[in-house]
Amino acid sequence: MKFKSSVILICILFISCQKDLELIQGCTDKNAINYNPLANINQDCIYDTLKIYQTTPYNLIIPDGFPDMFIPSDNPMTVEGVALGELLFHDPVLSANNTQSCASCHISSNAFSDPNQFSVGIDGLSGFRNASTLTNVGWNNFLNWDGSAISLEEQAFEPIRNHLEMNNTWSNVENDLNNDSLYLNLFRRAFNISYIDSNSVVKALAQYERTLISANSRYDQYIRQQIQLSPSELNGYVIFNSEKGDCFHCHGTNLFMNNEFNNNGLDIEPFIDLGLANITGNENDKGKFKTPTLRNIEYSAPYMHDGRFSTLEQVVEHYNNGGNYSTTIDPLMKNIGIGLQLTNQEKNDLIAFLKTLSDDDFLNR
Amino acid sequence: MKNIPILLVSLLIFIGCDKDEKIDSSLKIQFSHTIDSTEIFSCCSEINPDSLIYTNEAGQTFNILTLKYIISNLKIYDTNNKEYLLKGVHYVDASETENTSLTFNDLDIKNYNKLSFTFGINQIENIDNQYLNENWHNSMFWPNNSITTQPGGYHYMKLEGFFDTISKSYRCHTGPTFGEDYSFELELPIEFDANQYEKHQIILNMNMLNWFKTPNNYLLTSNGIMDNPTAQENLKENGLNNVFSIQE
Repeated sequence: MKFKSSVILICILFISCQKDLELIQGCTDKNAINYNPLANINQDCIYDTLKIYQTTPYNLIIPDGFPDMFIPSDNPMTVEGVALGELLFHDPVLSANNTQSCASCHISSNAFSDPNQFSVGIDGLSGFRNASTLTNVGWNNFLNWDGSAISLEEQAFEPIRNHLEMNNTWSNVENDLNNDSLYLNLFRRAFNISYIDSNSVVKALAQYERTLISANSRYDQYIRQQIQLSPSELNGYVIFNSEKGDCFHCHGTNLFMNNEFNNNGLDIEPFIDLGLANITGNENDKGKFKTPTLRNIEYSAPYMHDGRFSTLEQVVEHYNNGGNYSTTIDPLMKNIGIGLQLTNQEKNDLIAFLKTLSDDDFLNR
Repeated sequence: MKNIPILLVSLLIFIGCDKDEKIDSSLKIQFSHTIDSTEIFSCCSEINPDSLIYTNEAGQTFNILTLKYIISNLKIYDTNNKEYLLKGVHYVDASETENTSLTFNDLDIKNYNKLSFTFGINQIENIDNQYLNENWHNSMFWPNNSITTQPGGYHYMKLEGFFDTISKSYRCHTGPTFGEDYSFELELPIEFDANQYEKHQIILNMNMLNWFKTPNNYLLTSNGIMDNPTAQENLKENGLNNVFSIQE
């Protein structure tokens, strides 16, 4: 009897719990044209089998001397996807109050970075790191100064929901975009979907970001033997690429970055911002930040993860003084506290060379 | 019912043949990097940049934070001195376990008695951007600068850390300084019979202290050595002498 009672009780409880769930019939398949995001009982999906859109592969041209770019197999680049990504990148619809787009803090004429030390979000709140340049961002193995994302798709999720930035929710974004016939049409053409979800949004943004390629600076033209650099620029080039300046170990190759994290002696301990250690939890990563590309550096001020330097002169002076010792400082920092000891002319030459990395075609996109 | 005996016989024949022909011989080469027989990047210890725990021949205390290098033309030889190329170029980051060993399967059934490799990449093959799509390209590239006759290509080795005091860094970066070839070839005796055992292991050990002694007493310096032919030559000569050994 006791057993029977228990079974009955459990059944009653189970039925009661079931009653709490609101049962909504509708189509639960996102690929159907009558997809209902609130439905939990799948029924009567309608598919528009007549209109399967063919996408056009995007011909991503890799510049000479650049490595292949990794393209995720689940997000191949298409003409339609890139165009949609560009539209989204510049559309404030992604922010909670429709006032800010990605382009608000990644301004093309500033090498797709923010001239402000810290970007200000939709509610007037500031972040604590400078917005990174997106120059050649498709070749980054890690995104953000602390490497908190490992793909452009993953990275794009963050600013939209960050309360210091766009302060939106993804359900709001999905709702807004699904109520916009233009976007419904464009997403359908790019991804053959009838319901716009967050995954499709970040995929489109990532496709566009992979096209942000800069490889036509005066430096590139010099390497292609199309122009000659000035004696000062050439001397700066020698300083950059030799033990004298030793810039190339962290900012080398045609990407002018090493895709690694380095502590370049900005601060003594304890660090205010732990950088990479925030992500890895490793003591040895404290004070390390992703080394940025130097392409278009003339226009990506202010510099360093916290935008502490507003001019290239200040940056060069930092290395010329040798920085500050900390337990995780990179051995590549020569003569800590003493520095490179470049003459004023050599410093000017180095800066002149750095400015040859500016790419007008890219900055005017 | 008639088919069952036929099936059983076929199965026995198949198993028999399989046993006779299957010689699944493999060779694992483990790269080790030691000071006083202790691996410098042992698996579970934190690197402590504060402690200069080693002492070189010149009496300088130092630590090692980075050891990355390239070996190329890795070959083994049978007793008839026929060579077998195992790998063209291999990058080792001593702090990462994933590339500190190599395994080669399907070896020819021979007796092998010699291993050879080039430390670094020889001048003919050390070409700018040659390994553009390798994950070590960014880390190991050697700057190309026609003005200073730097030829491009790749470092042979990056050995970095601090010495004398905790705030004094050194960088032993070897490579094609001013276009000269400081890579070197080594032959080391090995002994294994691919016919006898299924799995063989060779440990290719780099004795770190020997980079700094015999024949040249090498002093760590806070200056870079990529533009220092004497330092490059001294390290090459030490490397040729007794830095590497085989431990089977």
